[in-house]
Formats: sequence, C-alpha cells, structure tokens
Amino acid sequence: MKIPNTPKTIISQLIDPQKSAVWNGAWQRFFDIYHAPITVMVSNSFYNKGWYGTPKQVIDEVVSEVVVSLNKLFNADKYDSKKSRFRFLLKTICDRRVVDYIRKHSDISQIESIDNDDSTALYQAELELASNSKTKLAEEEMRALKYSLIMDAYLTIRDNFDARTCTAFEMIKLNNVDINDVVNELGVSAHVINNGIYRIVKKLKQILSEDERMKEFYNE
Amino acid sequence: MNNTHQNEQNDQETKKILDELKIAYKSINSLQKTPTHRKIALELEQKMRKLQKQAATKTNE
Repeated sequence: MKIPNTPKTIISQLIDPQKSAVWNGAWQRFFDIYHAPITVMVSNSFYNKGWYGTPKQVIDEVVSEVVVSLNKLFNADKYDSKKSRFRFLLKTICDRRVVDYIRKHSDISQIESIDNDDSTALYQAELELASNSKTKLAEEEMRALKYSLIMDAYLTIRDNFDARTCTAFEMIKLNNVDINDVVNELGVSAHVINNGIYRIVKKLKQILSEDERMKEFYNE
Repeated sequence: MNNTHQNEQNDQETKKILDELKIAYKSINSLQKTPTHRKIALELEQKMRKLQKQAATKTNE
C-alpha cells in the first residue's frame, strides 16, 4: 500500500495564504484541538494581570475572541511563520484579548473583596501562588500546546489511512485494547494490524520532524 | 552495537510520542464533549459567518 505524502497540518492549512481561510472544517477542527491551550493561556493572562477569580463565562468569551482574531490575522495574511513562532503569536493574542476585555470592563470591580468570590479559579490561583509557580504556569501552557500540536499531527495524517487501520491504532495504542481482541473485532491478522500501526507511527514522526510548529517542540 | 543503541533510542522516542499522543487524545476528546466547548464552537461559527458576510458585502461595494 502506498504511504501518502506528508499532508499539511491544520495550522498550516489556515496560515497558507493560498487558502481562503473563512469558516470551514479546518477552523472547526482548529478549535476542537486548540481549545485547551488557548483557555490555559487566557486564564493565566487574567491571573498575571491580577484578575484572580475570573469567571468561567468570561474566559470562554475571551477564548472565542482569540480564535476570531486568529481568523482575521490569517485571512489578512499578516502572520509570517518564518518571523515569529506560533506559540508566541498565540500567547500574544491571548494577552491582547484579555487586555481588551479588562479595558472594556474596567468598572467591573463590583466585588468588594476577592475573599467574597468563591469560584474554583480563585482557589486554583491561590494554590499556585502559594507554591510560587510562575514557571509552572508557563509549563502548563507549553504542555497544553504540545498536546494540541501532536493531536493536530495525528488528525492530519489520520485522513490518509483507511478507517480500519486508524481504528486498530487507536484501540491498541491509545485505548490499551489487547491486540488479540482487536484481531477478533476487526477480522484482520495481527501482522496487518502491526504493519498499519508501524506506518502510522512512521508518518507521525515524519510530520513532527517536518512541520515548523511541531519542530519547535520535538527538536529542542 | 551502534545499531542496537540507535534502535533503543528510536524505540524510546516512539514510546514518548505515543504516550503524549495518548494523553492528548483522551483529554482533547473529553473536552470536545463538554457543553462549554460546543457552546463556544457554535458562537464562533456565528461570529465568523458574520465576518464573512461583512467581507463579502465590502467586496461587492
């Protein structure tokens, strides 16, 4: 079976100036995969600006604005991946949308004391403050982004393999199902399954070493 | 000897990638099922459609 050429990751598809990046499947997939790191970055940005107990619905609102900003930026072809790293772009946009929100709602400090705010975010912020974890906050962002990138890579190559190969891969490698159960369930030999897994892993490693944004994490 | 070392390194690298993918797969899949995620996705779709319409109107003008 022919191993397909390296496909473009979801971010690459959106950044590509040749592509009209209006709302389409790629944006939906982008949000599905990158929701977590954007949320962590927005939450941290509020926290770093002294907004310790930011309600969840506010975070959600800003997360949405971040994706809209990215859409505008990519559509206007204003992002040059050679000049700046995607992770810094994302972080900067999260910070800017948070500042926008704070400026827009600067008269929002109606809560007399943060002690009166019993939201979970407040407790998390206090716990983190207690453990002096400024570095940890950045690490959380990096980790969340790394998971999104590897998922992006996998979903990108997933479309290039047949459904049975991907199902077997996910059952065995991602859901810890025993290979004998997979053989019975899918009705194919263990050799075919192992061969499929080998091809997926090979392609995954290839894309991680070739894509600009993946290389930031996997070659450092 | 060199080959064995290279193979071991390769195996370790593969294991690391698969371990990370496993965590990503589980956490992202469960996040996608949350009402919050679906709500923001819907709002985003509406916002972007609106922007798209505005851009189209501008071009026509």
